[in-house]
Amino acid sequence: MVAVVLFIALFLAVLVLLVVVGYLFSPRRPSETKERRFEAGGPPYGPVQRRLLMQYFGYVYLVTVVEAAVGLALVAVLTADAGRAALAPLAAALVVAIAAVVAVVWRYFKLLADVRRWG
Amino acid sequence: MITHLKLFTTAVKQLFQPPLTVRWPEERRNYGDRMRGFIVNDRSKCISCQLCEAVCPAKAIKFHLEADGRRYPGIDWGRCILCGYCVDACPTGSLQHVNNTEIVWTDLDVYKKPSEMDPDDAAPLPATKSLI
Amino acid sequence: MDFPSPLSGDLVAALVFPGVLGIFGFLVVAIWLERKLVARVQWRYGPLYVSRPLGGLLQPVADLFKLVFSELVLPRHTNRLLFAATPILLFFAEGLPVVFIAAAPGVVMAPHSYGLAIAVVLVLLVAVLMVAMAWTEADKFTYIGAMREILLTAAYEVPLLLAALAMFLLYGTADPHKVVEVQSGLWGVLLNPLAFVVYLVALLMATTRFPFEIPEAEPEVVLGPYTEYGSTLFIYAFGANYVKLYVLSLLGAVLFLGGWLPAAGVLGVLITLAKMGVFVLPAMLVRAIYPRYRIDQALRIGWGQLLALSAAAVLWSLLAAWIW
Repeated sequence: MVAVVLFIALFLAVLVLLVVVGYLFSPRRPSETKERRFEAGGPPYGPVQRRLLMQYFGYVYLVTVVEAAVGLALVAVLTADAGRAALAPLAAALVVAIAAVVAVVWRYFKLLADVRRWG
Repeated sequence: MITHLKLFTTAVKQLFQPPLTVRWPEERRNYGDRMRGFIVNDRSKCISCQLCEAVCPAKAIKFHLEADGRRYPGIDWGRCILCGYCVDACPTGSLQHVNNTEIVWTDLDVYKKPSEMDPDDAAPLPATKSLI
Repeated sequence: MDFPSPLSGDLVAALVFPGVLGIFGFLVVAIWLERKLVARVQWRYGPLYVSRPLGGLLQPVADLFKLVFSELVLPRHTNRLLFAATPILLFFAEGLPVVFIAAAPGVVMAPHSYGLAIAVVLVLLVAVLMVAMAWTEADKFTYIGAMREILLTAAYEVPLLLAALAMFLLYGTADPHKVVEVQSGLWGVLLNPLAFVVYLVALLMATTRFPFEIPEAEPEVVLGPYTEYGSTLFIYAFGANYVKLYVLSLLGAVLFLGGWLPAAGVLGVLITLAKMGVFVLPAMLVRAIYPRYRIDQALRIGWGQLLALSAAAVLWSLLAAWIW
């Protein structure tokens, strides 16, 4: 526990110290231009030139669902009892879960991966 | 999979090639004796005819008045494209190329002011580390 | 343990390797190695003039000094406190998973029976901070970079988790010591090569190495999520990915390459360090090899080949556990 606290304290201290040193000892010549946004980074205006494809939200939706399933599988695997007898139900559950994930992805993959449908 | 392995083996093979880059100024590349390098003016031959100024396509050459009451060509190396037209146009052969192609300066002010085309300026820079 | 008397294993882990010194040392070595390797593949010299006898190894240190002592500009349109804090938090959070990973028997800060699983989850959590950082900067390029980061995370998260799941299934534990113990006969990379391949590709995606260097694609979005930063904060924003590479290589060395085997103590730490190279060297070299994928191509790889491969890896592990 001492080691963890030491690590966190030292790591954060070094990180903050470097910033403070830079802030205190670097030469400073402030100007209005420096404090502005970088080049063309301002908020966009005028007619939209290119939209973000709606297709991508499908992937984000997919990951929120699938990740939860994989997380459950991880917990199940790590808390399972040792031995071949305990392996059978675990294996069956895993195979079903992964098969379900693969089936869903397989079914909608063509639709998701085809940019032309979404552009 | 095999394509990616091939890519990696190719990259690893390239790792052991000697570099092609020339570490100037320690290493110098030999360009031969007839390269068009610095252009210098021999003032004893110059007749101030201004043909070089007229022929210069980059408008790099300008004439300026010297203390002896005559006008001599000066060259702006930022504009010069080393085409050699001025050397060809010179009727007395006072303008000549020098075999030093490394048109570099260690001093910004020297570069900025129109060079007098003095042969001394065209000497190759010494191979010192301080240039980097 | 054969460490000098005032240092116990966990203190070595906290201070030297895989702790603070290791992280900053890796930053220097990795940046130098990347520049040098890419330069040599392209027939150049790479960094050379700073510390010529060392082949320019101190160039990143010189860059670090230059960046620390350059002016710290906090843009007017941002929340200044958050602007300064998020890169620090990001860099810190990227380094946090090493708390649970052992570099040699006893050289671990927090021995935990689910240590490696916690480390994997911590690695995946960091994308949130990257997005927070991009949001604080309030810049068009950082928004786009953050969006790409989210999508890339969506591409690699599931395969990475499945690869880890396959290995945990094989070993029956996530305790770093026991995981390495199980590998004393055969290394994990031989027990389940599919999971290793998936892990390697997911590592490239997670650290946005080259074929997947989409969030910070220079010709498209300047520097992506860290466009606005300069000075020390730029080191953190930019170096965070290298820290992630460090963490994932360490995790990979323990999961797939038998960690500190066949030694222990100081030699074990060195062996772990050497095995990390198996992950680090390809990750450095890809910059010279690949062009950049489009974001939809990366997503297609993640949810196509990579998902299929990782599902196969889990099934392989199930079969192997059945037979073993």
